[in-house]
Amino acid sequence: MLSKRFEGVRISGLACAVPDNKLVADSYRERFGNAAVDKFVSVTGIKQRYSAKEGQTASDLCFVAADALMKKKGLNGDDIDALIFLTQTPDYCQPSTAFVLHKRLKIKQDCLVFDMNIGCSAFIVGVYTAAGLVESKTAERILVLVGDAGTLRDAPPDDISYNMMFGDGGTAVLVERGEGTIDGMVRSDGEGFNVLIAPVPGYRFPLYAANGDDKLQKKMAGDDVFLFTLTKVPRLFKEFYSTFGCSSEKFDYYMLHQANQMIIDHIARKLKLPKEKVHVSIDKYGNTDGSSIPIGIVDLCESLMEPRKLKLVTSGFGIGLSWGVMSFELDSVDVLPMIFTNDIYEEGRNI
Amino acid sequence: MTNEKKMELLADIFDVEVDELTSETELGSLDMDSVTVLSFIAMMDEEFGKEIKGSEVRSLKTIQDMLDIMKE
Repeated sequence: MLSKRFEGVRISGLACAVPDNKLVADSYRERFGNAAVDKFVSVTGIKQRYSAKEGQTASDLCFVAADALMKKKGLNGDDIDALIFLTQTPDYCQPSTAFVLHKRLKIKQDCLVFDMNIGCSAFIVGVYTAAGLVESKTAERILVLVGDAGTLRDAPPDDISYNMMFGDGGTAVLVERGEGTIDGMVRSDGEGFNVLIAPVPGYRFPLYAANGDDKLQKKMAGDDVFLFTLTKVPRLFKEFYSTFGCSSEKFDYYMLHQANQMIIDHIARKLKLPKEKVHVSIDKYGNTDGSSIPIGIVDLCESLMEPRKLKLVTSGFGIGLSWGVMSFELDSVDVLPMIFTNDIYEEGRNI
Repeated sequence: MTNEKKMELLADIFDVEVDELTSETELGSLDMDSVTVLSFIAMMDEEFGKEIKGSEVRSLKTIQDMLDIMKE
């Protein structure tokens, strides 16, 4: 069973950035009709989200989030031992986009740098990986960046789900040695590799997309993903409680991947979670893939009346198939307010 | 679960009144979209503890076909 209690490791900071470009559900009424839009909003809970402008990529959003977080924590590039960028929308096929961020954030050469191609479970998988590196003393402080953008690219024009579901976002999380514990559990099932799939990589140059080739279009077998989620995720929560000797009462808030409201409600019902403990941000930000958990945490912290330490349990699930559950404590003073940005790395296009 | 209760669950999924459904009602005559399929999958999981694939739901022809698999 792949589960682990990481001792002496903590999340010391978190920041998120979204594009300064709000898209509201009402603006789709002419295109898809009132009935279809009303039904979509009712089922998914998505009333608005933020979408990258032409040329803006996940790495741009992550750069802004990481830069703000490092400034807030008084860190510079010499303080980061590893940079892990988790995305499904890299700037290029090669090299890892993490190197673009390594340059932009002016991080030292004495550093481990790589991408991980992970989607909706990216926050869990990224922190799990980083916590292992810190606990094993491979690195002292790691910047975990999670982001996806340009999700409207190749959206089939008539597909309301693809056009209204996804928001873009970038996250920066600092994982470092310190007083604290992170409990994590991850699962994978390659049998479902083609349940959610986007065959064409590279997002800095949107021109080189699927170009109308049906075989290269993004695919999402919604029924299969839904069935996977509603069976596997509650089951993993039960294993998590049993492995780490805890129960739902232990946590202040549940932060589930913001896939859609129907899935969030179903998992919450199966786990018998009090509604007030299940934080929802999909109404404001849409489904932002790997960033949806940290964006939800930022949204949660912005809603608190006063700063406090939070006991959080999070769960990501999706493309891969990949799913996981992770709990940790986080001080809300270490979480930055949401950042809205128009940043585009022009040098990244002049290669 | 009684047949009456099952019909109530199906009416809720199809967003119609219970008396609008009979066991012979053809699913093609109802608004059987992707949300309906997901709602049926969720209901089967929640009420009967059964994992039903979307393709299986889409292959059903009548309300009676649905009633037949609504068993624990």
